Amino acid sequence: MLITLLLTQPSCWDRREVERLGIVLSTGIESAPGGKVRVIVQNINPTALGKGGGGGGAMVGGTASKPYRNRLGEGSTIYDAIRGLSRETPRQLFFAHNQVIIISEELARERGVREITDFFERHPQIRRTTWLLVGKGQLNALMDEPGRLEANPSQRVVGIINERDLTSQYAVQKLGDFLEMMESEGTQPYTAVLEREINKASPPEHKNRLAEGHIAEPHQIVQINGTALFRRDKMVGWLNPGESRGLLWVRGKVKGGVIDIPDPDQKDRIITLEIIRSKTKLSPRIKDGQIIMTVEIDEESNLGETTGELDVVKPEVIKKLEELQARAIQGEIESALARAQQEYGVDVFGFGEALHRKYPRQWKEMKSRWPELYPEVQVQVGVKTKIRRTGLITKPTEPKQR
Amino acid sequence: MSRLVKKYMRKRNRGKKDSPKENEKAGNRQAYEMEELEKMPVSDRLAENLDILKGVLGHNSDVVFRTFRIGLADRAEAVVVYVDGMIEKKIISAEIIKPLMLESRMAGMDCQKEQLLDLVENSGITASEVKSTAFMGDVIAGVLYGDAALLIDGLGTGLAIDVKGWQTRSIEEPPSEVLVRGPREGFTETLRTNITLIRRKLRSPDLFFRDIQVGRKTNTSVTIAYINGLADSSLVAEVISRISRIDIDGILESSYLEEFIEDSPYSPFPQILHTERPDKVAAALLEGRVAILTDGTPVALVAPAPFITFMQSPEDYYERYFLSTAIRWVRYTAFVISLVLPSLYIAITTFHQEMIPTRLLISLAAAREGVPFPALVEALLMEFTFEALREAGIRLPRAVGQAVSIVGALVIGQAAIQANIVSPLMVIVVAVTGIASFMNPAFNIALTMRLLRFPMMLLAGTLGLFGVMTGILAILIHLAGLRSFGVPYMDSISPFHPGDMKDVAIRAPWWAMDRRPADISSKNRRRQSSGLKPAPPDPGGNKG
Repeated sequence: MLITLLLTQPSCWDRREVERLGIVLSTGIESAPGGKVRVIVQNINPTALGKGGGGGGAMVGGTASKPYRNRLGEGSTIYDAIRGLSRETPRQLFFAHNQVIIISEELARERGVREITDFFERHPQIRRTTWLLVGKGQLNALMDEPGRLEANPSQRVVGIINERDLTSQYAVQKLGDFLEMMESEGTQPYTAVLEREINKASPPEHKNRLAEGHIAEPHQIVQINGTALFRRDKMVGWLNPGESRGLLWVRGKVKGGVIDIPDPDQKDRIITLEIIRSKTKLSPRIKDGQIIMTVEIDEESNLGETTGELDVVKPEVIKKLEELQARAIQGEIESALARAQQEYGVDVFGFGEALHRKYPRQWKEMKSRWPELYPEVQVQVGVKTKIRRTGLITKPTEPKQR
Repeated sequence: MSRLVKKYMRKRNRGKKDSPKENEKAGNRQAYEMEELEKMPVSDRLAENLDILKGVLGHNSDVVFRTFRIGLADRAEAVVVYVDGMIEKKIISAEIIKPLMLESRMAGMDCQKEQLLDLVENSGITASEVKSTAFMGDVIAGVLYGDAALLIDGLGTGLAIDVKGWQTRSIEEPPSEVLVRGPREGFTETLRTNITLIRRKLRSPDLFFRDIQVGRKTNTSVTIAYINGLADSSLVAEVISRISRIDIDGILESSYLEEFIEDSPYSPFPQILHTERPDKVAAALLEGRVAILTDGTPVALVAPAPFITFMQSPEDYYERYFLSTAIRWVRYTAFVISLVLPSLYIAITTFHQEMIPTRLLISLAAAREGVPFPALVEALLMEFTFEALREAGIRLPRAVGQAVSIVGALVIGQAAIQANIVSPLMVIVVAVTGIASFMNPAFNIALTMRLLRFPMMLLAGTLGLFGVMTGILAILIHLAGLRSFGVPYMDSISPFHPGDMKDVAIRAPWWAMDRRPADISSKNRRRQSSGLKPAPPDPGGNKG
């Protein structure tokens, strides 16, 4: 009896078949006039994605079907806007696979992100591992940039972020980490910026526009470009890619990327080194009321490319390169400090937290004055570098006359 | 006749009183009661004995009465009774009739009636096995089991001479338990052959065989085999007592016995191992288990059989232990898969989509686009079709079976997907489940998984992963409470015996498996002397 009831009465009340879901892969939030918010959700079209052999212009019934649909709703809250969207979406929006949240720069600068993050924390379907990005310009344009390898923009952005260690030129945050930083007294949040750029690979005019099988390159591309800095929940400024890596050096999050250094002998020639690993140690000190922050970095790299002549067999050449590399890293850190510490005065480096850990008692009375103390912090950077491997050749091939 | 034998058997096995109703019926039809027969002494007048025998057996076309005169005691009249087809006719003519009829006369032997029995039994009949009996009941029972009964006029004793010889299947490789490496012989339907097969492997005086007759009408011989000193005597006593209490008209296969003697008759899990392989039985006996051989079936039962024995294949012990260990883990995994894969698929796709990796979810959604049924219905449909195909494939003759598999592969595999009735992923799930369930060395526990899969799928379809977990927990609780001849079903794992892990978690090399399973042979656990690990000869040692 009980079993019969158990099997028949719940009747799959929260059952939903996969094909009935409107899977959302990214959400964009903009501010709308009248204190309202505008929500753009990117809803995927599984048929076009799943059966098209890795996406692209999947052909269904002879016509290329778009792998995604963007839908825009306005409401006084995000939830309101999303539920409003159900009047136009045939399937229930499903956010558990939402991978990117894009907040418009305008909203982040003027209204702050606090009023919108509540929804993302409260809703059970939203993961704290969702990437949070700041989008420059109109989000509907940003989120509707067709691609070829990754047909829908959200997966493209995630793909780009997953390869972030190849450059280490932007500092991106997951939703959960961002919120934690926002809540912390010893640090300020930051995250990467998404931007539209002119696609330089697209020629201004196509001579063979009508050739068979020709699909024109899109005129614009979406790119992650530097890092947005926040004071509490409001965006205050922006680090360019080089400065962003300075931030990552201090944060100890550089896992890759390349550094250009001048050739020690021929000043106009450039040597490119590939970072393979790095370690950062922050050690604060208080001396006569002056806060001194020592940033020690241990870095290892490989020689990637040289435009000049270089004899890597000689240890002293390697030594020289290591010194130059240390100087370059120091330069990156200093540029980031100049921007974030001196210009904007936001502690995105987490100096406050380091201080809190080392001097918990002093921190108690320091934390209220931290915004004033922070720009005065003296930062000493010590970089140790090591070049591990020099590639397959020792000397570059020389064109010799005969 | 059959009624009489039944009565006779019942009397012999249980000493229980017949129900008056049956007694009445029998009395109306037959001239003699079995109880009567059993107590009835063999008369010294042959005509009387023949009357009784003909009354009981005479109406059977296969029973032969051969009357002749023996060359002893005034040419006394004698009769040989046997069932045609169950005996070796050559033995009867050459070793019973010929010596008594001709050779005794030629040898000039003669005697008084008092010496007749001794002379016939010890100097006349040359057959190897002769039993004398004073009761008609024994004579009849012997005739029905392939003995020749010899009755002589003036002799108050019947002789049952073993002349058994009937058509049997030869010893073949058991088709249900094929190995790559290992003995190729399997049990046959003849009990004696089967006993021989075991005896040949265990040439020890400690190997004991005990016979019990079961079945009122079939009168089936059941032999209990064990190694004295290894098998717990209480276990042997328990097996014997459980078999002795069976009162059924017929035992046609060992599964009849299995259902009568298992601990929990309502459990879907088998509690007794069955096998057609003498080597598997021998290995079980060496571990201190008891084997039950039934006449008329090549399938032997082994008890106690905790869960883990159903996961062990004889080949594990014949192949190198690295491989065996790996295979064993594949088998454990396959066991779990065969139970839960379809239900996990249903639960995750209908309730917990957030657990699926994004890309998989997209392709899943794409694959399911246009499929009209919910995942549960889809899965039940596919599983049903698969089970039907499987059953059809097994029962059909080999040539037709192939046609069925083609239909299955094409119709289910291709057409169903193209017609958008099922999604390709579901076909994969069902196929993987099917393959996983074939991986099990014990067919009966694979059947259990096959059956339990369906309630699990219903639970998954209604309650999601919560339902799957409920199902798994229910099964685990049931398993924890189950026993096989008093031994906990999850023995070695719960209660945990670290030493047994050598044959559970891994298959340790033979020189390391120096002890028998803990709860099976509790008193005599060492199976080899220690320090037998082989090593290359020591170059510095005496032998150089």
